[in-house]
Order: sequence, then structure tokens, then C-alpha cells
Amino acid sequence: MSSAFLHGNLEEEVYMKLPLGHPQSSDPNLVYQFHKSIYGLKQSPRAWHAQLSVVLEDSGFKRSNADSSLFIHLGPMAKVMFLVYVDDLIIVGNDSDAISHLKATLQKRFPIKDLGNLKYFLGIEIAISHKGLFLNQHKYVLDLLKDAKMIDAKPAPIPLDSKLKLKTTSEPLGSINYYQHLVGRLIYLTITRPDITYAVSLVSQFMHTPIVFHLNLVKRILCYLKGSAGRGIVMTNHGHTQITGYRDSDWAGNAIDRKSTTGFCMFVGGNLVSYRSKKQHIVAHSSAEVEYHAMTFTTYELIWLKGLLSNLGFSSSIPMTLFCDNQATLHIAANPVFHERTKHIEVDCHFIHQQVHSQVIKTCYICSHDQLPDLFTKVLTSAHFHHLLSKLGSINPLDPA
Amino acid sequence: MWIQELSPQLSQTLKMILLISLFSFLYNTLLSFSLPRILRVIQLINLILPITLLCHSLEGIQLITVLLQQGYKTLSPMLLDILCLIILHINISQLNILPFLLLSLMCMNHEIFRRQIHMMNGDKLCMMSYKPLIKIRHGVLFNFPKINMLWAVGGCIKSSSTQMGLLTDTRRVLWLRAILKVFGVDYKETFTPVVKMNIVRVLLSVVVNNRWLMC
Repeated sequence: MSSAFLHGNLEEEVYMKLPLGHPQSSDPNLVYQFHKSIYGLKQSPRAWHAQLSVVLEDSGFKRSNADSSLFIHLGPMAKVMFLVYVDDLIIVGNDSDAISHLKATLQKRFPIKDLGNLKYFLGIEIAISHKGLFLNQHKYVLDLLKDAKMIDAKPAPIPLDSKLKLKTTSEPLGSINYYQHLVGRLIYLTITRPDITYAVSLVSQFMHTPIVFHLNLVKRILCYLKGSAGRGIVMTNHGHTQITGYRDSDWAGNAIDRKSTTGFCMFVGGNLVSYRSKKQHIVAHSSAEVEYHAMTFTTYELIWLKGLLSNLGFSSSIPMTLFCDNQATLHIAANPVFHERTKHIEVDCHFIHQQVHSQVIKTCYICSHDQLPDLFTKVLTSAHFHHLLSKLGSINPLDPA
Repeated sequence: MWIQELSPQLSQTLKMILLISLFSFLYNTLLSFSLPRILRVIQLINLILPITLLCHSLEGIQLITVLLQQGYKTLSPMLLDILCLIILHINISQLNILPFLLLSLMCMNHEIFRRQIHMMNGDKLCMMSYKPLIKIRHGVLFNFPKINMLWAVGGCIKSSSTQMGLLTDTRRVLWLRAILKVFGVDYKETFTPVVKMNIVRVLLSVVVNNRWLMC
């Protein structure tokens, strides 16, 4: 899509001084009034999005409830979905006629360039093979390493040192901007890199007052990236669209404020789609409480995913499986009995009971060794780390094995 | 005067609190006062308090800036020198306020501005380069490599007709917005709904599992 913003219609009155070199620019009483948006205006992207939405809704698309940038057209046979990221558009569907019809409609209104099959989207490289898709950000990693002057760094096997102890006192960093800039780029990199998610969530907790120690953590992550630049996520055909979730949490793992970390990952149709590592807001007394909190948190995401999939036309009555390695939380979820110790998380308890009872989710035990979200909550040994990564579907095609 | 008497007994912190409350009071009531009266108050403050302390509070800086913008025509030479001193004493940690003041000085008069720059070159602050990069139509572009900032300083406020005054007022508002800009924070940042990356992955998974087409 070229010069997208010029297509938006403005709602507000905006005036501009005549630019230099305009024949009448010497007259201070003359101004332009905009009818259409222009690059540099605050409201341009919004105006463009509104304009595109109108065109899409005219051609029978409905805006999804799960995300305002997703447009869905569910015909009797044809299903077409339309994703908007400002001026990058993705169209997917099962009917080639409907897709080419949509393209023709859009081309009538906007000068859209058809880039053919999806290969590159927002810095994510997408490789298609007969087995499925492979998403990676190889070029982005290399650019990042080059900008950080770490292109010749010694590769590290895991993103964080296994004997990591967080320090709070050390010399303050000279340039906070530099730190924030690097971490910001790392956060974007987590789109296809579940392996660095935990490490990045750790370093991004110190965005406002980084110290030299934190910068060294970031450098360590960069060293790891150097050794695994081509790593990405594979998506293969499993022939179903079932949702499964895994969740985990550590207990009071943060040495600074003793808060716990929730980690979860979710699979749709056997492919990793959603993962997160997040420090909890509360300080918890027991590991069961932490795990329960994480369970609630994960359930929100599962319900959202279910809503999204039913929006896409894949509603299913089979409960979503939620794996968990903590017996206590499984018992609390299954039995509507309240104890003194669960009093303060009663709202969470009721919520989960309801979801389990109405068969939205189904809780399942998994042994700690196969617990996938360990990746998102703690520092692991190299062997365990790579074992879990391969299970997640995160592979490095350049690895010898 | 009572502050001066008290200050030996007061701790530094208490003094700061007093200062801040004093300035916030002054700042809030600034618009309701007539300008000469404020100037007198300021002169009084400057007599009582060390200027370095004035620069340690954000409200103090704001006050100075507002004064500079509103009273550049009526400032007495003595007050100008005081303001100049203030700029010389600005803490390095508050450097992002410096362009704010520079701009205000620039708005006052090109002549005075040059004098300030000249004076500052003799001080510790000259570790940054103040050399104008490019002369633009109504001002100059400054580069502050230490703090990673590129500032345009300008505004033509030479003529003092009322018509121009109105125009410069709106312009000053625009300039003030530009001044709050910090490197790395895109002040031109605009908002549009964008898609969640999770959805992209969900969609791709659905595509793979159903052998759909995508482009």
C-alpha cells in the first residue's frame, strides 16, 4: 500500500501555512485548509483506518470483536479474513475467487500493490514449505546486533546466566535512552522468539532506572541471539483447531520484591500462538495462591482465544485443556470448598469454578519435567531449555541436529 | 526575609519544600497578577534566595520561563543578568530544560540571545556545542550531542504589533509542545488501531491447519 495516509478524510478543521516557494507564500493572510489527511498530521493514521474500515464494511466484511484490526467475511462457503497493520494488509481465506474479488474492490479505491504470497510482514520473514510455515526475524536480529556493535560477540547457549542473581545496586547507566532503545527492540523480537521472552521481561522491568548490571544482562541476551539468529516458530498442519494452554508460575522468584512470575503458552491447532511472561501484581503467601492467580490470568487469555476462533468460524464445544503441574490448584479448581487459606482469592476461585463447571476449560495434570511454560518463569539449564524449546515448536534451521 | 532568618536552622530538605510550595503558589497565581508586580516579587525572591536553589525546582524553572515569555519587553537589565546567571547554574541533570530557556531567550531578542550564548561559552556548560547547525528562516537549528537532541530555536517576534502578537502567541504554544520533545520519544507519534501479534499467529495457525490461501 503506497501513500496510505493521503486517503483518509479529516473530521477536524486543520489549516496549514503556505509552504515556502509557493507563489503566494509571502502573504501571511493566506492558509490552506485540509480536506484529506496528510503525512505528519496526528490524525492521519486514524483517518486512514476509518476510511479502510468503511470500504471493507461496504464489501460485506465485519469487524471482529476480538480485535478492531481484523475483518471477517463469512459466506456460505467462502471465508475471507483481512488483517490490517496500518498500511500492511494480509488477506487469508479458503476461496481464491473471493480473495481476488476483494483485491479488485480495494484496488479500485486505493493504489494497492499486490505482493503475492505472504513472505514478509512487519519485519517477520515467513517461509512456506509443504510442511507448513516458518516464522523468523533473522534480518531483524542481525540488524539489532549490528546496531549494538555485538556482531562479533561470542555466542551464548542460553539467554540468561543459570546462576543469575539480580542486583539492585551498581553504577547508574550513562545513557538510559540507549538501554530503553535496545530493550524496546528486544520486546519486538519476542514475536517469534519465545526463548527470550522471560529474559526480556526481566530486563524490561528496569526500563526507568537501568544500572550497568542490567545493560550487561541485555548484552548477554544479545550474545545468545548471536548464536541463534535464525531461530523461529514453525507452524505445521495438525488438522484441527483445538486450543490447549499451559501455565506455570514460580513462587516469590523475584529477589527484589518477592513477587511471582506467571508464564503461559497457548497452542491453536498444535501451533504456538500466544505466550507471555509476566510479573504478578500481588505478593502471594503460598505457591498455590500464585499458581491459582496464574490460572485465572491464563483463563482470561484462553477465553479470549476461544472468542476469536469462534469469530473466525471455528467454534467448538470441546473444553479447552489447561495443563498445570500443581496438584493443589487442580483440587481447588475441582472442588467448590473454600478454606481459610483461599479466602482472599475467592473471586478467582469462583471464576475458575464457573469456567470448569460450564466446560469452557478442563484442567489437566502434567508432570513438572514436561511443563512447557517453565521457559517463561525461570532460568533453566541449557539442556532443559532446548528440550522445552523444541517442544514449543521454536527451532533453528541452522542447528546441526 | 523571614526565610533568610530561618534558613540556618532549617535542613536542606525543608528549604526545598518551602521553595517548591512558594513557587507553585507563585506559578498558580501568575496569571492573576499584573506583570510589574510579579517582577517585583521575583526580584525579591532573587535577593533572598540563591539562584542555584531556584533552578533545583521544576516550578522555579517554569516560572522563569513563563516570565521570559510574557515579560521579555519589560525585563530590567538587572533581571536579565539574573536570568543569565540562572542559565549558567542549571544543573546538568536538568539539561533538557536548557533549550526551553534558550528558546525563551531567543524569543526575547536575537541580540540578547547571542549575548547569552557568548557568556555560556565561558562556563562549564560549553562542553556541549552550541554552534547553530543551519540558519533556518526565522531561527537557528541547534545540536546538543551530549543529550542527543536537535532543537530548532526560532520565532520572529521582532514586530510588536498586536496582530503579530496574537500570531506569536499561538506559535509559542506550538513551540512549547516541540520543546517537550525528548529523543527516543516520538512526539509525532500517532495512534491507530493495530493488530495484536497473537492474532497474526492464530490466523497463520488456522491457515496452516486448513490449507488456506494467504497473501
